[in-house]
Formats: sequence, structure tokens, C-alpha cells
Amino acid sequence: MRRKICLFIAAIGLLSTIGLCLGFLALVAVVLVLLFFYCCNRKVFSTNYWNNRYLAVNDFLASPFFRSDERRNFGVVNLGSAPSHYAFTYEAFQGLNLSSGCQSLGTDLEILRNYHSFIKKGGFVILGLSPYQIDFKEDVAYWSRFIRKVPGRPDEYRGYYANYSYLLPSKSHIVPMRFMRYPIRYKPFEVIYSLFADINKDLPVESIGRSNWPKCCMSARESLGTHDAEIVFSYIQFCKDREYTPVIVVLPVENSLVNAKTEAFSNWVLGTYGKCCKVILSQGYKAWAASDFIRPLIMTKTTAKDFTAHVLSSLSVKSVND
Amino acid sequence: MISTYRLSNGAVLPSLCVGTNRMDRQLLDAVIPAAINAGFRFFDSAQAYGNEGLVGAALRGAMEASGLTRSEVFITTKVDNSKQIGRDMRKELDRSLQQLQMDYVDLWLQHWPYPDYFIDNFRQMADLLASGRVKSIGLANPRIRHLQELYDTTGLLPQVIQIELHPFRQVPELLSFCKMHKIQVAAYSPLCFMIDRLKHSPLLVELGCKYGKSVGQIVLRWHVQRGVLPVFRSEKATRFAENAKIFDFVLDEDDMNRIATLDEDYKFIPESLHCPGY
Repeated sequence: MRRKICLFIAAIGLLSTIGLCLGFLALVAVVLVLLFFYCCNRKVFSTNYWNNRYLAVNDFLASPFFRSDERRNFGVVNLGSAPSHYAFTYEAFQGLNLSSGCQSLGTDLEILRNYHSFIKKGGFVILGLSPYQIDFKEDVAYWSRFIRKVPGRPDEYRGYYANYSYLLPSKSHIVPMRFMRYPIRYKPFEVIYSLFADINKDLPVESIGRSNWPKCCMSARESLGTHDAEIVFSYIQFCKDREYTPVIVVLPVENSLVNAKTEAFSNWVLGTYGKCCKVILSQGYKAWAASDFIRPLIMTKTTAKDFTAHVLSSLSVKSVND
Repeated sequence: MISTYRLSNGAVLPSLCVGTNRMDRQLLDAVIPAAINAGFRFFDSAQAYGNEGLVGAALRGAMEASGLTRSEVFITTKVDNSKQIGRDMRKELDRSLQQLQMDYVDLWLQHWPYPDYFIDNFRQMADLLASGRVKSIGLANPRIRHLQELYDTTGLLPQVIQIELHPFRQVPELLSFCKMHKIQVAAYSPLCFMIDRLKHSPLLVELGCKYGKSVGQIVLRWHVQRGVLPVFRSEKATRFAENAKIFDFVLDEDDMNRIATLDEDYKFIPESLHCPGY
């Protein structure tokens, strides 16, 4: 009997020890996994994958940096959504791309309100408008998961919160962007993959590829909606009040996407804003092949260089090399 | 001896002012006595600097040590944008006076012409002049369009404006407007943060050699000769004695004209970052 009790106690002791060891190992494993995720989460911010996805963030001369970055008096800046962001590149010009990618016209105006002091007197403020609209609301991943509503601000500023939360007038209303802080929690496979197979830095857009374009609804439009049309008038007036030169550029699309609606859009822009500011219609400037674009509406970098030079030439802006 | 300017309302201010932005207690306790010993009597503070209380304490300490009375020193403070939203300037004046531990401020400015707020708030500030707790009022960082809008709406104009002004940013149109309307112009960042381009400007270095002065003294003298009130900032106690010695020489007209050629409308402080919609 005593032997059985001893065996029983020994068995319990052995099991407890094994359990403790397993528990300890499990704890270590959990800590290691968390540490791995933590390190990946930190490291991803320096990848091209991240910086290209939220590409415009680093283009801005944000408040904390203006003391160390002495560039001022830009002769030309551009605003507009993703097609505009990729249509302008200023390697050969004293310009600044203020388009943040996926955003509304309201966001463009808000960015201009915050950054216009970097523009020189009389400088060109280009607003690129595409004849096609992309309804990102269809992309639940883009809007709903990453971006949270901020109290007291209209929906149109949602993109603004994603990339430019520091621009908000009232800091107390900023709801922390969980995705922007902890991307690994929401896209673990993409984040970890990017650490081992980062995309090419020089050709970021090409490397992302057509298939990764957010699942969105892209449709031709004949005009802007009433609200957006008013915002563009506000944008023009804002520029004029501050002695800048507003310019609206109707961005080209590949010829296969041209139809009666896109032509109507160009005519509508010219008719609506042509009397208030300079309007550049760029569809007819050359034959736009599919190879000029990486994704629908998104130019290749080579095309963007030529296109920027063409637009700035028509505004008589000189290259820094001239 | 530091000269003075008489404002449109008859108030008198010294022609040089010492800035206190981004200074902590330790720095203020060193800088303010050094400035007073060098002859400076005019100090610039602001709600946004977050150190009004420290400035007031350091100033009182230095006044006691040097035997100066309140009427012999001058203080500016500014209403922050975040406070302008409250639209209660009396409350903000109380707040600043409490922080500074003073009965009055010599010059009270709005820090920025904050869109949708600055006109109503300026009207309130003007009403508070009668209380005697404010001697003069003004506006920092305005453009002509702000002053014009203010005048068209209220019939009021500031006694003083404070703007970024240095050889690389000379805003001649704004200065002409102010001269025409008897508005005293004060210059912040009068030395353009001594960025390398200014510090090593061949022209300014040449003039420094010609007059036996430093580049900083040349630029401060240039301001004063234009009738501008520079608000300079220094963390070096020895700098105050140097900056006070700008009244023993005169830049000739030709040299003033040569400095005018440096203008490139360069703004070191981008206004719109501090005041969206500016």
C-alpha cells in the first residue's frame, strides 16, 4: 500500500514537472513569437513595401523637420489622388508632390491649407483630375479596417486621417491608427514577406504590379459631383487669395479607356473652370498606350517624367538643368 | 544706450527685444539677467512657448537683483491659436498675467491671424486696452490681406505687427503698408536662425569687415536703420553685450541698398504649418 502511494506521488511529481516544463516551453515560445512579431512590426517601417504603400508620407516637409530641411519657395506643387501622385515627378524641377495617393478632393484642399507656405509667390499649384473615379469605398480593407472615424469631421477626410493625422486641427480628436502602428496585426503575411522579399526601391509602382491594385470600382465620369465641384472652386480661390497660380490638369488615360464620357469630362472641366484658372487637357498630347501605365490610371515613372516635363513646359517652368 | 520707438498710441518701446522661445528655467535664469546687465529691457514671450510663468519668474528675479522697477522693463506675450478658438480674450489676458505674475503687459499680440477667429478676437483685445492691463496690441504673422480684412471689418489696425523678417525676407510691400498706417514692425528670426547662407554671406561678411562688426551686428543694425524692431534670441550670455553695440555705427545708404538685394522671400518658418489655412 505504502509503495502504491509512493508511486502515485512520484507519478504526480513527474507529471507536474513535465507540465511545468511544457508550460515554461510554451511560455518561451509565446514570448519568442511575440518578440518576432514585434521586431517584424518595427522593421517593416523601413521597407520599400511599407514606404511605397504609404508613399507620400515621406514626401512632406512636416512640422518637426522644417528646421533641418531648408528647402522653401517651390515653383510648382501638385495635388490630386493616386493618378496625380504618379503622374508628376520633379527630379528635373524645383517641385513638390503633395498628392498623398488615395484621398478625396477635400483632403487635397486640407493639405494645401497646411503646406502652402512652401510655395513661392506666383508658384503653380496643380490639381490633377482623372476622367475616371475610383470608389475605394468598395475596398473594405482600405477603408474600414485601417481608418477610423474621427468625431466631428466629415467622411471625406478619412484618407487624410490615414496618412496625415498630424495635420488635424485638434490633436485631441485623433483616434490612433491601429493599422499604421501595428501593421503586422492586420497583415502578418504581407509584412513578414516584405521583410524577406522587399520590393524594388527605384521602381516601386512597377514592382507592386497590376494585380495588387486595391479591389475597387473604377468608372468613367462626365463631371465632378456638386460637392467636389465646389471644393475645386474653393481650391482655386484659396490659391488666388494667396497669390499662387492654380492649374487644373485633366490627366490622360490609356487610349483604350477613352470614350464619350471621358471626353465629356474634359469638356466639362474646361467649361467649368477654364474661366477661373488655367486648364490643361492632356489626353491629346500623345497616343497613350497601355504600356505607359502600370495599372489603370497609374503612369510608369518614365511616362511620368515625360508628362511632368510636358505640363511644366506648357506652364513655362524651367528645368533646374536649364 | 538702446534707442526707442514711439507707437501710434503714444506708447514707447525699446528698439531691440529679447526672445524667450524654447527656453527652460535654467536657460531663462541665465539669459534674462545677462540681457538686463547688457542693457536690454524688452522681452518677448507667448502662451505657445509654454514658459510664460518661467519668463515672469526669471524677469522678476533679475529686476530685483538689478533694482529695476516694472515700468522700466517691457514684456510682450501672445495668444495661442488653441486659445483663440475659445473666443474669450479677457480670460486669456487673465491667464497670461497670472502666469507672468504681472499687472499688465506692454504689448499683447495674437500669435497668428487664425482664420475665422482673429478678427473677432482682435476686436475684444482692442476693448481690453481701456482696462490698462494692456498697453498696446498687435498681430503676429499677418500679411497685407489680413490687415486689410481687419481694417475693412472693424476699422482697427494693430499698433505693432511681428513677422519673420531678415535679409532673405524683406517684404517691402508689407513694410510700406505699415509705414503708411503707422504700424510698428517687429522682426522675429531677425538673423534667419543664422543659417549658413546668412552667416557666410559674402556681402554680410564684407560689411562686417568694413565696419569692424560681426554679421549679427550688421543685420541687427540694418533692421534698426529700417525702423524695424528686431526680436532676437540667444542662449549665449556673451551675445547680449555684442548685440547691444549696434548704436555706435551707421550703415551707409549704398550698403543698405546692397543688403536689399539679398531678398528672396525666403520663409524659414512655414506659416501654414503653424496656422492651417493661413
